[in-house]
Amino acid sequence: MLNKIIFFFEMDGYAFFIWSAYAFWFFLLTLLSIKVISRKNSIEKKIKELYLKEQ
Amino acid sequence: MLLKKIHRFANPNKFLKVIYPFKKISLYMAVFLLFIGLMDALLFSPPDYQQSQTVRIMYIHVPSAWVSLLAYIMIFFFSLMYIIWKFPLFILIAKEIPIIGISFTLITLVTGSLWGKPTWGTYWVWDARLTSFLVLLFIYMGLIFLEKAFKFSNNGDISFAYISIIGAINIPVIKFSVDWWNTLHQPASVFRLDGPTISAEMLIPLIIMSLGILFLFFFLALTNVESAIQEKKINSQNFRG
Repeated sequence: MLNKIIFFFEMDGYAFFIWSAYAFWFFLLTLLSIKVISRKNSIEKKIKELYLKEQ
Repeated sequence: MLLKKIHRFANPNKFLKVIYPFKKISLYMAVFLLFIGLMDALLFSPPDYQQSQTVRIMYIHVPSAWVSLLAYIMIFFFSLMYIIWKFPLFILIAKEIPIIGISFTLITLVTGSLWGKPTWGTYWVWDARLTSFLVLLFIYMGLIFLEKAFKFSNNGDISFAYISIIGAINIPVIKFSVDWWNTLHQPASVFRLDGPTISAEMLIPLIIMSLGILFLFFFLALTNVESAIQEKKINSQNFRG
């Protein structure tokens, strides 16, 4: 079982290229998603504050 | 008739109502498809007989490249509609896409470079496909700088629209660069007149990953557009809609 896992992560000796590519892909998409969602949340918070002020 | 329909959706409040369910569906579909796609791409798809395991980079590289091109086509389309009909919503949508487009372009270039080293023996070569993709990255950068420069006014809208339309010349160059010039990059193997040349075992995870990344792009773009509309409302103090 352990051998199978090691074999999978080694990727026939191409581990550096494959896992670096996937890590970069995951990192950048996570960063982009966080940026987009946090912008949306902060605007919604502002709208709530403005709405409460007007009340 | 078409103009009437466009008029209806050019109203930001109506547009927000329309996109809300699409946004949610896009997020759920993206998470589901990316999970299935990654499992298939990393665990079940076979290695290539020539490229061995490095072919697994294809499942993130190719969909990212397609989405970065699609993002630019959408910017072009909305800029053109803005120039024709002058609806502010169209340029607002166009201005929210470059940040997502540049991210996918960067992913394409970096993953392509990491795929190139074991396959071609080099991380980078100034061939037509790679260079035209780098030009796309610079065009996206230009559009983002332009958008930031005129963040609090509409003065840059027309310039943004015209520059993005001019920049669209690069899209057919990217697509046909592998046919027009001798390049290291392989020619198209999925979108071909005579059908895909890639085996079904690799084509299926590629399609699943492409759909997953496409839905993620729609979710991010729609969320950004929603934020931009709400920002405009706050700035005009008309936040009740």
